Amino acid sequence: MRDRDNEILDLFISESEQNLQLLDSLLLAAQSAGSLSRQNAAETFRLVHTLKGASAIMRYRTLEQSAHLLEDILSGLRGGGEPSLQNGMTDILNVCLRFSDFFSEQLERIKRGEGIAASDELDAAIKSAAASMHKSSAQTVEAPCVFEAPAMPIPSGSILLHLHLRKCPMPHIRCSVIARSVLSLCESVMTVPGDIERHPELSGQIMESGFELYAVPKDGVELAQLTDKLAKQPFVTSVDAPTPKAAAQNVRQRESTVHIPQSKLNDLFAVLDELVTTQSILSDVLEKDGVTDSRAAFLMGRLRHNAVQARDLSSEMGMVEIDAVFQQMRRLVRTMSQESGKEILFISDGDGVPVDGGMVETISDALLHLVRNAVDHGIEPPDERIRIGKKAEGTITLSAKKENGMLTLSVKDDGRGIDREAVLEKAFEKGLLRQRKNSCSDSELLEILASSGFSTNADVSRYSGRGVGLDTALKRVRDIQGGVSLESAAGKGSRFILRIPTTLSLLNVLTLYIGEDRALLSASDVASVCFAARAEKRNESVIFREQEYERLYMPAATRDCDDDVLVFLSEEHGRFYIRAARTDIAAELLLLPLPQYISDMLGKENIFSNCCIDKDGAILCVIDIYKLIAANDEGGKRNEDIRQ
Amino acid sequence: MEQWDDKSKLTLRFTVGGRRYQVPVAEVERVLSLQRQAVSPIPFGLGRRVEGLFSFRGAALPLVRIAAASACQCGGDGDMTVVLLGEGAKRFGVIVDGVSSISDAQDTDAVSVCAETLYKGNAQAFSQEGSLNDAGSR
Repeated sequence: MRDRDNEILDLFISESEQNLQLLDSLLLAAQSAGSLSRQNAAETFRLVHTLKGASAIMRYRTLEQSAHLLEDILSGLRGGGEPSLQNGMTDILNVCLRFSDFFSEQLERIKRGEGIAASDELDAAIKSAAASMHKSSAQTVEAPCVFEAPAMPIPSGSILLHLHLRKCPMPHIRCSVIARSVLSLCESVMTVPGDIERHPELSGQIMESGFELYAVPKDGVELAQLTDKLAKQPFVTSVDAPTPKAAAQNVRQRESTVHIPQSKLNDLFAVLDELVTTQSILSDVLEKDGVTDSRAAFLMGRLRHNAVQARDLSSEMGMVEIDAVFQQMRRLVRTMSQESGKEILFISDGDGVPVDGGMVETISDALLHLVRNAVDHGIEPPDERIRIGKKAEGTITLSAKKENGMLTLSVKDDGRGIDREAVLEKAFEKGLLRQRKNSCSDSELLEILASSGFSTNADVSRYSGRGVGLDTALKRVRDIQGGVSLESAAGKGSRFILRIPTTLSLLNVLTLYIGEDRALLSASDVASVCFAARAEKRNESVIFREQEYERLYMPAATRDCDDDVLVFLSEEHGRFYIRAARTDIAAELLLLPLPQYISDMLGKENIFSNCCIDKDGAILCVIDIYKLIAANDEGGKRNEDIRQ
Repeated sequence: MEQWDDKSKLTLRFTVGGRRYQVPVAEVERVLSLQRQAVSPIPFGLGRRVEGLFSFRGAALPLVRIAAASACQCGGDGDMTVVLLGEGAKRFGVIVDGVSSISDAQDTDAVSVCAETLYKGNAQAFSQEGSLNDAGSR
């Protein structure tokens, strides 16, 4: 019984979280569009209504009551003219967002096994927003709806039907006729908007993307009867009906979902990873033994195909869209700009980009810091911006792009740029620099900002997410093989770029053979590989593409190796190269965590971040360039100002 | 079956270099046989205190010897017997000469070890340049 209760509670939490996320996205879209379309108002209403219902089932009376109050306001918005932000809409959106915040907080408390907090303050705010709305919207009288009073909520048990029409004259009136045609089968039918026949301006939209009906079938009427009848109406080309359960839960969710504990998924991923590796080893073994049986070769091919397919499917299962992270940032910018009096336009680009579920936290932690810094330190107050000839409104652009197996995230602001002198001074005071200096490159600047101990606890405000500093957030990005870079220009703004492999489990690698040893580099760390010219052979530094590159040494045993292959590292690390006897471009390998035992044992000597199982079954360690640079520093091999 | 009821008292006995050891069964994930070539060394001389890494159920795990100095006969070219100890991120394999029995009686001659002390003895103490014989004995 206990388990069953827990299951229901888990379901309540996860569904409510989904609904709150949808609610947030609607509200924030309304905020930036400057108006809430009636369709979105209906959707907002429906989400709040669903949250209310779910809270009532779970007997969370406080949540139910707040949702109920908000529902009253929202039901008023669904009819009538297009409400604009002037009509007290800002208040309403704010109060909706406060509701969503409150609800989310309570979900967190529920997760921790705590009780629900009192909602008096929120309820009062909702009531006062309602009062101000009624005053300001006195002139926007709600237009009557043909089938339902517009103030009526979408009836519970509604099925959402999505219809498409062939080209026809006056489609908005056609919609209304079609809706009427099934009245005999239904308790109620509602178009969105309710008085669709009065909206000729929607014709284009209806032709393009169809229209929606909420229908409550009478007892004994099957969904199929309803859709059949609708499909037979003139001009109707298609009728889509989601499953009734999904329709009741979530209009946007067209597919049913199941909840799987993350731990089970992880187990599955581990087994599939092993399957792919085993297959790969087996295929090598067969080849070495000279097995030429064509049937065996065929079966091996099929096994490979299936194994890879299974792994790809499983990695898709762990993917989520980045939208939720974007939304969180939009929220942050909105709240922070309101509090600081700065005017900020937040632009996000790259909605729908998929990321590995296991990385979301790392990404959002890092972005949170970067966006917060952009608002706090980047964007100037409006009067200052005007004085220096900028637009009063600052812009923060967050973009996500996926290419070549890498996810590139960028946070850009058009503010004042990072104050190098101040950063350098502070770094010197904190002992991060050996001597005072007054200029530095972008990459040096980044290393200072990312070094532990630069940002103090005093800097950590309530927007710092789970309380980790920028240093830790960036370190975690690097731990998952991500790279960070920075461009900043005084008076023009800054741009942080994060490049992260799109999945945690696969890494494009380069195999290094040095002496007796074999180790891996992430391909994203490598700029170029070439043979050393004789003259350059014994030099510590080499000139490559007109730039001087410094040599990085592997620890102890291999110090004196003087191999011919030079591996130049990508610029984000500074200018370094490594010597190797030879290199191999291996394809993607499965990335495994380095056992904690190894990092504990090696401590500061550790230069590895992960390991991979190579095609021959050997477990190879992946070199972490940052750690390697630090190890070289320790050994006195580099004279740099930045101490690690 | 009665004597198996209280698992907390059960110990797995094994020998390393002619010496008898016992470890609580609750800390043993499994005993496996591992081929020498299935163990990959840590490169660049960084694996001085670890035999190497081996793959178990899709994870890479470290393989260690229980005592640096004891004349362990195990290893060589053939298969090794490995006792997999600990849990989660702290799992590791210990090379043994052989596993003898599971018992709930205390063997007064055997050295009692547990996963945590072995882990600390090997991974942590060594990183501070300690050289422990019988690391992890109590």
